[in-house]
Amino acid sequence: MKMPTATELDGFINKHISEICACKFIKDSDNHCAHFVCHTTELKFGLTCFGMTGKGERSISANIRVQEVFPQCRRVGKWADKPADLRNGFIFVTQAGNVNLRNKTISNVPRKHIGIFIEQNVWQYKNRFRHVIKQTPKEFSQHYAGTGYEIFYGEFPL
Amino acid sequence: MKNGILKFSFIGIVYLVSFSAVFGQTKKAEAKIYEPTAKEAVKQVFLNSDILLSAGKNCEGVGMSKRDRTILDFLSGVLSFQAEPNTSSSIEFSFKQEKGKRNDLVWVCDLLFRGGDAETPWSNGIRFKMRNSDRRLMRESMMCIGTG
Repeated sequence: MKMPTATELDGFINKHISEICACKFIKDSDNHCAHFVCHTTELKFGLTCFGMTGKGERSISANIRVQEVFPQCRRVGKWADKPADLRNGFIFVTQAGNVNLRNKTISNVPRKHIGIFIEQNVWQYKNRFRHVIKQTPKEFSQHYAGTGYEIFYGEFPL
Repeated sequence: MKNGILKFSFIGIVYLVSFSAVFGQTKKAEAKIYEPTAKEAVKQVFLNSDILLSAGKNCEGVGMSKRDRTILDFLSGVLSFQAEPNTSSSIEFSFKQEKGKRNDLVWVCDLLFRGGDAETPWSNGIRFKMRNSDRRLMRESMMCIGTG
């Protein structure tokens, strides 16, 4: 696990996933939100980009699933309840009913998204734009149109 | 003496015929390499849909609901999301050759269900091995794939 700095994350802005992933898991028809944050944090548990393509090297691969990252977080909760000492970590958005905080699970539904935050900045792979963007938590919370969506924090795994 | 020669010739012919038959069959069996079709793969998945998610690699948490226990539960959930309005859905099938534990030919098949939109593309599916010889899915090879 690597804790990226804001400067390092700024370096990813506007980058397409092909400039980030050396395992060639780079199709635009795939969702790269978890894939991006796991490359920046070097998290390679569960299913990885290397596992999907068999290209590149396992040592530089990254997890690609939101529902596998969420349970790995040390602490999770609603964004509004984020502890004051937690200055960086993951940020999730989905319908509130898809999250079980007690069991630390998030259902494998299509509409779920993950970014990485440091203080009041969020970096995420915006699939529609096909590159990384930087925004505020409020903007991130509006990722999906419609009601019932909520944002959650996740403390980086050890 | 004449009978002995005849007997020897007969045995020789039998050996020759048997050898040619066996050799021919071996060559024939080696040559029969059939690439799997999507239909074949889907059928094998249906036939083995009772496999527990807990037994599959990377299948933990792939269920759309916490009650999902089997590949059948998982894929039923995946397919139901393809029925959502304004979603573009497709099925992707790919395969590659591999040598099995006994040096036999197996096919590694990926069956991927895609859906969603430009903002939220999603894919879920399974990867499994299928023997070339009997065209059966190897149950212990089941793995859940996809991203999102």
